[in-house]
Amino acid sequence: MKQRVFIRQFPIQLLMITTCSMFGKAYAEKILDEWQITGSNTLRLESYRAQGDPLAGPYRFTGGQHFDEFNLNLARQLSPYDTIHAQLYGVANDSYYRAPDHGLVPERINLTREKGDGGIPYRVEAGDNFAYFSFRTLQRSLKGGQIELQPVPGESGARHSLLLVSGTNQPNWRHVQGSNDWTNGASWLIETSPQTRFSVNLVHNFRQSDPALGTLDRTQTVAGATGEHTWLWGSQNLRIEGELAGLRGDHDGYLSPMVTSVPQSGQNRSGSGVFGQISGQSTSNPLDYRLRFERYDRDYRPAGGVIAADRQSEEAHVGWRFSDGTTLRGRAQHFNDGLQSGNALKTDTYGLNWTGSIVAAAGLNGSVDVFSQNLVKDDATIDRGIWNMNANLSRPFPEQWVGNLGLLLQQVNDRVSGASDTTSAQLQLNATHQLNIGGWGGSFSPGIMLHRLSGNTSATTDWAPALAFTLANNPHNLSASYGYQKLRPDAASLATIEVNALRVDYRYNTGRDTFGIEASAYDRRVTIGQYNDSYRLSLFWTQAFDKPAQAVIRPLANTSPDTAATLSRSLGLLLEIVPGSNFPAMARRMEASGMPAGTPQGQVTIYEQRLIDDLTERQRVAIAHDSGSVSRIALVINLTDPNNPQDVAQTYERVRKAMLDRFGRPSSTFEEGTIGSTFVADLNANRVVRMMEWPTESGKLRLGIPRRLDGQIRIEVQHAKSYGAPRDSLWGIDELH
Amino acid sequence: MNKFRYLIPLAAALIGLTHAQAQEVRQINRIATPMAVTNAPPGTRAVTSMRPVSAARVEDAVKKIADAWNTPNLEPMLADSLYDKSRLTDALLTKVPRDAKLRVLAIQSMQTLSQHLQNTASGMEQRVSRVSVTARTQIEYNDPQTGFQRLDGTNEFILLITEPSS
Repeated sequence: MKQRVFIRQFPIQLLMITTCSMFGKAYAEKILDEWQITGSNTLRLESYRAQGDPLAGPYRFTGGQHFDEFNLNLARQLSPYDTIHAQLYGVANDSYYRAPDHGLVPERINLTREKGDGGIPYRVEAGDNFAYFSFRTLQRSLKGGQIELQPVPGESGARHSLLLVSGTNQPNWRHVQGSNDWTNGASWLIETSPQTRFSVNLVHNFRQSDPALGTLDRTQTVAGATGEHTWLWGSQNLRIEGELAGLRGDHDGYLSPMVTSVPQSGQNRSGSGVFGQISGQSTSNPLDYRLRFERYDRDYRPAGGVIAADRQSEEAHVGWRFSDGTTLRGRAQHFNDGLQSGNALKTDTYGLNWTGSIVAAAGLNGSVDVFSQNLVKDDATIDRGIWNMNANLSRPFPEQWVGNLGLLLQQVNDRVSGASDTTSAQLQLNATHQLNIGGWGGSFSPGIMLHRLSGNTSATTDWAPALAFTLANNPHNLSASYGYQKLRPDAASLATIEVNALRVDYRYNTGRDTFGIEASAYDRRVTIGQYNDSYRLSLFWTQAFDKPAQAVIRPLANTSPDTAATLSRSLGLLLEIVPGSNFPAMARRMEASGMPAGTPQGQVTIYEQRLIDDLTERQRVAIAHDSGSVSRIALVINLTDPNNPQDVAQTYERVRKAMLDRFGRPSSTFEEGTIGSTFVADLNANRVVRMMEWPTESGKLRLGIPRRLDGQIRIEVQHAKSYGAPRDSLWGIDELH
Repeated sequence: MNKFRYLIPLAAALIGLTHAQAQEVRQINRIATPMAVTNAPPGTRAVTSMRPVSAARVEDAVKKIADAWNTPNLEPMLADSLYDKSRLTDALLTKVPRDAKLRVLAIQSMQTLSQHLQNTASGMEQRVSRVSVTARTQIEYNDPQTGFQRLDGTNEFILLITEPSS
């Protein structure tokens, strides 16, 4: 039956893929010329299988579970300060895991206009948006709209932000009910200086009754005021912040002794909340500290807030950073839950945390955390003391090994009559070895965990060895892990449990397409004869689609084409040598212009010539030719340290600035991913793309960082008749080593 | 019934933010204006064009959070401003079975909510993105008395993802 459902819906999914593809092709050249479009489509075919006890395995649903998900991001820059963004995320679903609904499910839709060059700068959003005033008033995702006005600061320099939100909190667009859980809110934020800000917030919420859950209609209004100020007091850099808020209206009701909600008790109530915090850092020594107070009435239950009602808390935190970067932090916390319930639970916690170089002489780094906790309930049903120590240390070893040690010790003293104390001890040992075999790089990680819980009827001894590895050799990525777990209870009446878990993932990346296989097997055996064997196989194909924004730019004129004029030693050279021109004639012009002697390398002649003066990196001019005609001319810039993302980003910025200064606004720009610590791997896996183009009378000038077959990283500026799509990143001159 | 579900960090998690600002209340997410570009103090520049964080990066972040759940690796990922952060980490140590794991059953949808630029202490500019992602998760553990337990739920994670700005 389920297979038939998928078969029935599969044409819809194919239609969607085809539509996306046609959308890309048709619109890329026409209506959406000035929009940058990025996104991806993933088709995932999954199969789940389980044998034995169906409740004793990880997968609730078996059989084929398939879906096709897509995300589409559009951006248009009307001016440097006027932009429109649209985001669309959805799925064609035939999987019980992926979404609660089957068929086409639009999940996130957002349209945003941000305009900073008008009379009053504004940002307006429609669709899915995140409404955030404060933790105590409103922080939640809404389907609706919001508008923010940020008037230009007047003579006083005060900045204002007026934010209006309206929308409903619903998981997806298929079941949006405008009448349920609807929030309207207004927030006025004033920043009198970078150190001082105040805000007032007002939130109204309506939630509809639900006979199935036994809830009533609930309408509530929450109002709050916040303040924050930072100042220097002697050698102390201090910050004080606080919020006062009140609620009038309805909430879900109190919990009865049977832990069920009593709806009538939440009608027509009023409550308040207060928060205050002072924090500081010393400017004369590495000390920081924080004192915090919160109190929320039993009836302060804002529908959009994240705080816990009926609670008072007082906290003190202090930290010291040593000269070697090691930090020592201490905390003392008192929580009073069920504050107005008549049966409060009081929790006192005292803790120390040491992070950084733990034993410098031994090369041990990591953290050691110790805390003591005391929990007492007024009616004495809870009276417990907990002592906890958690250490996690690592140390490098020769031959590219890194060792990790984790140690957890926990003592629970239960002082309630009849209860038993428990002791828990866990030791975890792991090692990671970096691999580099025949062009495959990765890591290999064996480890073992031992755990002993003693003192009560659930006392067990557990052990769990594990093994994992990753291997990558562009475009292949392979990772696998295997873990075994044995839980052996002390009590003879309890069964011993053994679990085996195996996972293998493989990915193949070919530019805009990624194909992958994920397989996992889970085997759980209980000595009393129960077992569960579960398997998951997932095949996926992700296709990224992208289109740069096309500005209407007049083509750059080719200067002095094919004449005897002296060639310039600047970026202008790239326009002076025209693709399609006679190569021997160009080679003679290079020589006559006093350029260094060219070095032929196959179909490319290379000149050690700088074209951007204020760049210290090595620059070479390369002229590629085919059948006696120039096919491409390029400026190739080496990077001093491709593994230094800051260096890469700065060099690219300088080249881009030189191009913008010389040739003006590009006709198209495509940028994806970020230049980060894994830049080289990201570029070679096509996760980072940098490309700008300027049209010329004979083709295009392109600036970017192409992917190269030899894995080297270079910035290139090329002039050629045509190029492939931005994501087809193998456009560099590979003959140049 | 689902007694550990609240121990999944519902409100905010953090990946890679090195200079977190405590944020109990909203701050101005500046709109780029000609005046702001020239007069803005260092480290507070507004983005002129929002660049959505890639789906692959967000999925990777959610999987890292799931792998770190119920291990010491979770704490460094949580934002300092996460409400009740220390109670969450204490509760994970004292209330959750040591063998409990968080499995990501499906990543449902995601959205880059906002972005701003900030400077690091070394002067490098970073792009900070606030991303909302909805994920279907399942806590799994073995109870010696009652057997295998699986507690599923759908959670919204708010991630702050910091990347170099270029």
